[in-house]
Amino acid sequence: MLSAEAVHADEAATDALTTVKTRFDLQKHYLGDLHRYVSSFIVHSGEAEDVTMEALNAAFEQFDRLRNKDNPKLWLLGIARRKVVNHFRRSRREFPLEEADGMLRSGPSETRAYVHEILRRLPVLQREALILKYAIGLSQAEVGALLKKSPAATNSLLQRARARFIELDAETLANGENS
Amino acid sequence: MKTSTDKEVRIAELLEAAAIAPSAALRDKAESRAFALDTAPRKRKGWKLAVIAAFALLVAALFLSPKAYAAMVLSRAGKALDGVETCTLTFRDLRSGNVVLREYFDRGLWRFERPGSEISIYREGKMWTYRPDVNLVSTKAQDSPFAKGFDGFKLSNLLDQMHGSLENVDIEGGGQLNGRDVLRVSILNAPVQEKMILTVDKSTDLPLHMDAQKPIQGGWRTEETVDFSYNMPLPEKLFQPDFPKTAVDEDTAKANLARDFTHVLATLDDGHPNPIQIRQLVMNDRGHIFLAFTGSMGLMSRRLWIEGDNGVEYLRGQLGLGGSISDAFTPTDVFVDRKRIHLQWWIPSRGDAALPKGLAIRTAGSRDVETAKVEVPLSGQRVRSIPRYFPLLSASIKDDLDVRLEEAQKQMGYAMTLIIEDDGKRRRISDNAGVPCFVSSGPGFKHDPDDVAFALKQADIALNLCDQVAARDATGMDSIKAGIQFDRYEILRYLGRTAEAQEALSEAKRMSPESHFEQQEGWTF
Repeated sequence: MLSAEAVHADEAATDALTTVKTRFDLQKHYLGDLHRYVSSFIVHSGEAEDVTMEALNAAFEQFDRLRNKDNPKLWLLGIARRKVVNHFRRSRREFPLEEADGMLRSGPSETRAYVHEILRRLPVLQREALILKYAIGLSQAEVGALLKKSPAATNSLLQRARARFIELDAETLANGENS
Repeated sequence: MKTSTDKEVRIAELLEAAAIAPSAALRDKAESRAFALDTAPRKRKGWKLAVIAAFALLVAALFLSPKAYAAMVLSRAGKALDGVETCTLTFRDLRSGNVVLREYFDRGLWRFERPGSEISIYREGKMWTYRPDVNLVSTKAQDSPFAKGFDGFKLSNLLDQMHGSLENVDIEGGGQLNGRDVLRVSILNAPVQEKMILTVDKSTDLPLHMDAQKPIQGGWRTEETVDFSYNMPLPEKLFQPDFPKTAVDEDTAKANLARDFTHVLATLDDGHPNPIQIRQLVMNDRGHIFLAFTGSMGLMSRRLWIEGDNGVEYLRGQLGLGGSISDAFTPTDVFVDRKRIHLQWWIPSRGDAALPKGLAIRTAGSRDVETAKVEVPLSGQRVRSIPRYFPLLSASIKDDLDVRLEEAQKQMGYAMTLIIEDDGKRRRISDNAGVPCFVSSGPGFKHDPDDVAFALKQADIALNLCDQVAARDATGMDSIKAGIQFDRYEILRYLGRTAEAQEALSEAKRMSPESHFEQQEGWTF
């Protein structure tokens, strides 16, 4: 279980910088985060993995030109962000959660579907900010940098996102939809 | 009451519990690809780099650095824009050659026009949006006219709309545009692989034109442009939310819609406290089924499947009826008896069977075990193409073209997943997540020639429909066509029609270079 201290400790900085010298290092350290980010938007597990691999391939191609190899997380998430948008454009598909039920059998599907239902009802930018902050573990400043928002705007976005998430969580529990 | 920290802990816990790890297959794929690239021999670029470096030194010695100069030009352009009173922006999609958006600005008032789609007006903290296709007006209080929270008319806003940023700027060159001396400044957004070229008037510092480019093999391709015109008087009525008197308010439309779903046609009683209740079942002339129901569907490991009494299996259409990645009006907003309405669109797996007179609808729990079943007769009433609420709920389904395109793609995919077993029976292949996938290229799989021919026919139909959709919407469909071409490539390769297959693959790569089809070639099984 996460403690309050653990959450606050994340405010100032994210994980220790990990220098990646090779593409092998890159996928070793960041595949999990990349996949987590992508699969928070694409429920279908196979498609999420395809898009993750697509983002990773694009990152591999640009790797030699990457200057700051000390902290490539933001760069990598930026690529993934574009790939997710491309995926939705390409498939002209939105967020078929009901259909996704049958596709989530391999994981802790009830909790995952429950959380996805809440995330799905959040405005996209709020959803993305929460994922980046609490699932990927970016600092507030990094979330702002990725979403191209000022510190004040990022703070306000995260506040609104948290409040809405908790509201939807309570509402869903009250409706007994997670029973 | 929850404190801010409680909220953070709850959110972090839930997101943690819901996370899934990449599969072993993905890890293997990533590792082997990384290893192959890390150990591949590199091209020798030493002499080229040396020439470039020498040239850069020469330029730097003679002038201010181009990057610094570019930053200065942009900074001056930003200041010049701050002084603009009115502006008209015209966005064009070069792939179709059509105007996709017009924006009008007049001292804090905004009007956005998407030809053939919608008109929005922003003034005094409110945004009105009118959709002529459904004659619907929505009104929202907003701090800013832009969804991303911009305020005012700033250069950064314009760039962000085109997915750019003010990082990595450079001077691309100079010249003339419409008789005016201009400078061209490039703004590279490396993480998302996009580049903006801003053409700035040297005498006024104002941007006159912008190109949004994407990388293609060996260069960049302009996909969208923006043209600016400034300080022309704009009629006041442009910024008045005067829509047709017959236009319906969004909340009223939702209430009307909910009334259509009050009657329960059948209940799938699987013991769940919030069972699935079928509220409406409509068929169109093509045999597609439109299903409205209430019940807790999304939060349990339940799914529906549908079969017609003609023996045809139905496939879920995937356009538009789930929650949306955009903030559009979605069916999750519509409630009846305080229960959320779910809408689903089902497509027959084959289009040549007689239309069914009734349907068997089943629920399945985990591991696909049937938990409940109802048989529902279909009334004689049919819609021609789509029920009237579809365009209301999803801007991505406009008319019969969208329905036919989805049908062709779905039926093609379905036919490709059918294999013939040793006993001669047809069986549908699924991957390990239980999801149908493409198997035409797999070793050892035999397909019925009729299924393969049907899949190829549907691919051709889908390509033709893509062209029609592109003409209707005045937008490009390249990425979708590229996906279909890649499917054609797989089918043709299975048939041994190598030359045609290669042609389809080249076409897919040409239309969507960023899709990296060459990397997918070995991925299907």
